[in-house]
Amino acid sequence: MISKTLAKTVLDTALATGGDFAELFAENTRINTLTLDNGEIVAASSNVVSGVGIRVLKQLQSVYGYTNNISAKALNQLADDLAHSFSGERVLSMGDIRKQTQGKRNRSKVPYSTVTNQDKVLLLRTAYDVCKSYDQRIVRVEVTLTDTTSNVEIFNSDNVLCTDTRARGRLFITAYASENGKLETSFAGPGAQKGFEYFTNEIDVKEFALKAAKQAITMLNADECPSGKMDVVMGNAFGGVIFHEACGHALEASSVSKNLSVFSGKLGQKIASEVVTALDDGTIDGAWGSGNVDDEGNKTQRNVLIKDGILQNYLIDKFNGRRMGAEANGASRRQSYKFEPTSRMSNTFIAAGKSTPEEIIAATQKGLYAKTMGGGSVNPVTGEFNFAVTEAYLIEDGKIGKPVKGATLIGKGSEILLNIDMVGNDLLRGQGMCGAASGSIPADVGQPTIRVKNITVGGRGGSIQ
Amino acid sequence: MNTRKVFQLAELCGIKSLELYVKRTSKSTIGVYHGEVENFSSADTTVVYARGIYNGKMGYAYTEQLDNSMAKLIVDGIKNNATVMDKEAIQIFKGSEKYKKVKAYNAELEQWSVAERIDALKQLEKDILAADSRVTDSELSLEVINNEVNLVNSYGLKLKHKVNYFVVFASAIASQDGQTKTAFDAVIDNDKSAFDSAVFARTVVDKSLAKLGGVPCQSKEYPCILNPIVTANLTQFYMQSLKAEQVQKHSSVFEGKLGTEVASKCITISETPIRNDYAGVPFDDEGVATYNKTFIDQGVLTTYAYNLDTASKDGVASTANGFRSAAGKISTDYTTLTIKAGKATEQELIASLQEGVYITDVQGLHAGLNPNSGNFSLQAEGFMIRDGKLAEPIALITVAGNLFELFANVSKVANNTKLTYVGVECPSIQLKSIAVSGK
Repeated sequence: MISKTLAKTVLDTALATGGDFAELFAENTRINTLTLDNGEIVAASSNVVSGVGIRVLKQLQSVYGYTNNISAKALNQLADDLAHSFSGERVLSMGDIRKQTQGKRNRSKVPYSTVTNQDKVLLLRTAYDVCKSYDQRIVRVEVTLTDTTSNVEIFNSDNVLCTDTRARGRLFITAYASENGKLETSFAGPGAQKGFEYFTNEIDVKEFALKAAKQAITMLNADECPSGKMDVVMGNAFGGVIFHEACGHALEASSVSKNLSVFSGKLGQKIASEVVTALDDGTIDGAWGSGNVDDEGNKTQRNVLIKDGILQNYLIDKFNGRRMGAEANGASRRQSYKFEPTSRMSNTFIAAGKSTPEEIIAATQKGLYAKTMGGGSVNPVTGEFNFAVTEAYLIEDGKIGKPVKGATLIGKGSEILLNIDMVGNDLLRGQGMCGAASGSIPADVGQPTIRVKNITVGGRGGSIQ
Repeated sequence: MNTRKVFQLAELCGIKSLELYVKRTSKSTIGVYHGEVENFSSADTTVVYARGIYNGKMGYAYTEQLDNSMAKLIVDGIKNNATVMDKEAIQIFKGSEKYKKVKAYNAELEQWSVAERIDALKQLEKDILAADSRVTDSELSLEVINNEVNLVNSYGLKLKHKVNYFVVFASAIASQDGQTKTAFDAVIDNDKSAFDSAVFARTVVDKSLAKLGGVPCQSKEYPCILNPIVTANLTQFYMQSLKAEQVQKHSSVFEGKLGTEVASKCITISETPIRNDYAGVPFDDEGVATYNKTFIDQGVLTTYAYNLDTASKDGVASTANGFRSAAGKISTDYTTLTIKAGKATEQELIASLQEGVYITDVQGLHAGLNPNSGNFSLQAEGFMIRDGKLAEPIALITVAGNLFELFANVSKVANNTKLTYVGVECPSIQLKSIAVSGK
């Protein structure tokens, strides 16, 4: 996309007024989307996201610009405009740029560029047929396949060029069930940083389609969830969204560095119950949130965030790391060249414990089994978070009872982490999109089945008896 | 940019009709932290959105790669995608008879220099931090955005629209007795006199201070007042089900409800694209002329929202609600929605309640609210209402209910209509009751 010579000139221009670091991020991303809705292909699109973002840092100031006009003239002009934000003397000049070897993880076996639309349609039909034929109360099924192949080049004033290829595919299955004027929806969305082989050889899309169908039908006739404080057993995989919201965001350097996070200055302190060990790992081969390098060119890492309840590490990008006096640790990400990178999560999960899921349920006298979670959100400053439960059951006398709907869990991250008292042995990850300052990025959340004591459950079913 | 080449290649490759929607966006954002410019960003991008009919089917493509390969990328994309479509395409639009003028661009805004904007932000930060000793920090930014849209198609239709506006965002962080609370607000306009630093700082600070001491209230059903921001958020989700696409696919509770009462008699919801402010929009993304219209009139559902495709299916005219989704495909969306103001002041609504809750914030809408079923359970904040007055702040509660029942149970609408940063123009509304889960 961008030659080393051009990058060198542009970065030199950007550094002219005293910038102490400059970076050029170039991207060319192909996105294909196919949607099958009620049996018909109703949308098919092929899109190209392509452009360049330039960043200049001077101590604790950052300037960023982006454009999709990637001519030498336009890029030099942009670099010059950005340099004008500062008014000092040059402190740094570019040398010859050397290319680092591209990492070998996350390679597609069957690249999306080799897959025909017809083959993709067959996959959509398989999922559709299974989901739609499960029950006649399934009135609508929408299945979408989105594949994204992104090539990035990151040049910086350390005279380095890093490249990475990120190819991801995700299947979105939404089932709509209806009966007597009531309407329920459910969703399954498997995805990975792999080629088409993920859908054809590695997972059974029928299983996901069936799961979506079953959940919509179960929830159709579920009672309203009671409200109040109760013990909640949370299912594995996407259940990990609780850690993502309640703790993960507050460990990002963007809020930690300004002392805005509830976890600022707490390294080495106990912030969670001793059964909790949590990690953010961008190195998992083929995982949805992985990368060989992050979006400022640092090698991704397996960062232990909490070990046995003690805070070990934050998620740190270059810029916020300066305020903290800490090195970046491979956690700087962005949606595209249109965003300045900042500290973000990749694949974040609570490590497996010893209990079986059955033991955790059996040990719970009365409470809620939150089998499947939707998304949530958090205010990193106050630590107040919320997330939605999309499939839930009451627990009575250590047994899973009737289904209930409309539950939301809320609390404060700092309190909830201390109230996790059982951790299962069935760790799984689930896929999601995480939104924050540097855009919407693919991120895995994960956990084994866990139990949280005494959490506030919001619902319409009256107070819990 | 040479769009003629795209039309030429398309015709050569058997694409019978083609539409290009070219959107140029330029943006400049400034962030100030502790008296210094912390970040500055400047952006200029152009996207070419295309769709075309090949063998009777519609294919879509968009590209930001605008070099020599652009025409081929678009044409190949359209052909490949049209080939797998099951549906016959509707025609590319030939144009509306008349387009109303809207003035969404204010040339004066261009004169607001970067240096002046930086000074304005520094002043705002000072105003916020000086307002009260309990304010410990703030985060703020100022963005100026220019959008220019050009729509051209094979039938010679040529449309152009230009808009500019600024967004000032600020949050204030307040602490007292070990408790920290944040609040934010935003000013969006293209007339910079709409931004008064002192007034805006006071608003943000007052919002955060008022939250201090907030704790959960007793769980029960309360009469309730939702402020304009919360009402705006819920209205956006409510209106999802009025999209003809949802109705035609049996996933809307409004199926078969045209002409019937679906909401409370005091609810009238309109769309007002024809307006002379930054929210004005003269045509939708398919080139259909927009017009102001009422979707729900005193509780009665008068029309669904249509694009050309869903309109042709129902044998009606498009309501000019054909707008692009993130993937570039024409879907259905709204411009500015407006809930008609009532007669009472918000104070009078509050005064009418012996005990109730006044909700100022809801969180987690994207997950805690299902727009199809309407069920919601959301983290919320606000104040107790006691003896007709706002009383202590409440926090970490959830409010739960059903969106469709909620709009059917609105008992009063206040007269404090404002165009919120959510993009919906609306007042506070009063509900007979809402389920609150607290302590």
